[in-house]
Amino acid sequence: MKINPLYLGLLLVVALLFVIYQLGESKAQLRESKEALYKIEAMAEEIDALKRAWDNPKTTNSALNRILKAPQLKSANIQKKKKRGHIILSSKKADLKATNYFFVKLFNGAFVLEKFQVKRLDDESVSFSVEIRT
Amino acid sequence: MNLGFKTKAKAFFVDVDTPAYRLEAPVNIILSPSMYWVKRVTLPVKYLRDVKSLIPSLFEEHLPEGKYSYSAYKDGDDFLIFAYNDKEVLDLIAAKGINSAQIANIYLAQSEFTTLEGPRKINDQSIIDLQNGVVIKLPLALAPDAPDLDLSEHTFSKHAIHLTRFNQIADKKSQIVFASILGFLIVMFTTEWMITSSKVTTLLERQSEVFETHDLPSTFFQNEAIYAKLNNTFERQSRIRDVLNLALSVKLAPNERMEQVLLEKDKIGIVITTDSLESGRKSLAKLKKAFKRTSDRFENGTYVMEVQL
Repeated sequence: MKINPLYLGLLLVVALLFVIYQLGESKAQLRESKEALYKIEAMAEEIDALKRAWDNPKTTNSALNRILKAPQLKSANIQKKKKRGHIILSSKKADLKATNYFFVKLFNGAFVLEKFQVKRLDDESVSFSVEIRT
Repeated sequence: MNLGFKTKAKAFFVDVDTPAYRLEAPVNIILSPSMYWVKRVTLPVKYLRDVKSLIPSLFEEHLPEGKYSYSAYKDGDDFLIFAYNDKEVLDLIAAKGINSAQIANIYLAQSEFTTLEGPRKINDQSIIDLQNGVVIKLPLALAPDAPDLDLSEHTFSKHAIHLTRFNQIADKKSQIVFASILGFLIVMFTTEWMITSSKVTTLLERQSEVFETHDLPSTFFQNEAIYAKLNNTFERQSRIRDVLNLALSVKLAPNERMEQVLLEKDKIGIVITTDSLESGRKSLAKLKKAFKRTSDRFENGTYVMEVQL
């Protein structure tokens, strides 16, 4: 059987168009996959960083212990109570200097503050209670 | 035009002088001897393919200028070789009212009437006859009583020819060059397609590896939910700190005093003792400006501002 060269030519053109189309699709897929990979890598890094900072009970506990050991807070007599998944720190009477020191450390650390209350007792002292999620 | 499929199409004889017809069904066309050149040759070759390569030189100097196609078949100890101009034949067929879609196969009179018994009338001017084994076209005057050519029971030979206009557009060499370029491009693009597909697969594998490396769940959606939750925590805690920092650092009037700062579920309350609602608002104006979602009240010398988280 002899095949018309025109049909062969058409077949080749169709095959070429098909391959070009598939290549285009594949390149678009490659672009999307690259973008998805960058996005995933960025997300994974961010999750890692956020987890380390905000979802790390061990670090939270040890960081709090370090703060509470500071000599500046001795006068405040801060009590530490552990509830399920929470740590409550409270002081019945603390001077303003110790309170300020404690709050600066608390606000600069990655502690998940659930409850916070500070009440003035007189011109020089306050009472406070802080609930932190662990 | 002619893919060589077997058909049960009727036979239709085409000559220069054949009148035009309007055909309804596909036909097998038999070309008159006036539309091709034929030679009987004896060659010291065994195979037909060897003959085919020699045909152009065997017709050299006998053919008018133009582009020709060639065919051949074995006839006894000899070979019958043919030359025809595809374009001229196709133009003539078209002029007779037959479009290319109606053509099943095309045959040469030589291959179809090898057993012709006496002259046959093909139209009002001509007859065909067999002389020395070659079908020729002659004037009707040579055999005025010749019966009409009857094709109703005609059985076709296996020697259909193949005509194409493409041969007229580009010669064989150009066709090969064109096909080679297309073939090269196909191979090149296919290779690139395969390489790209393999890169896509590698990237998809790396995506799951990223989650594994960071000890995270395997799907994007699970991780998106984790990210949203953690990010929400981060944003809420940042806002809590912003409000508390500002609340604890506001400068109050000498007669005012900060009494309490309280973080509840979705709000932070700031309580100060002051003279009036206006003076309380003035003292905590910075908070109101920085955090839009606030509400306030004044009761018994106490001003309370609540900032929504």
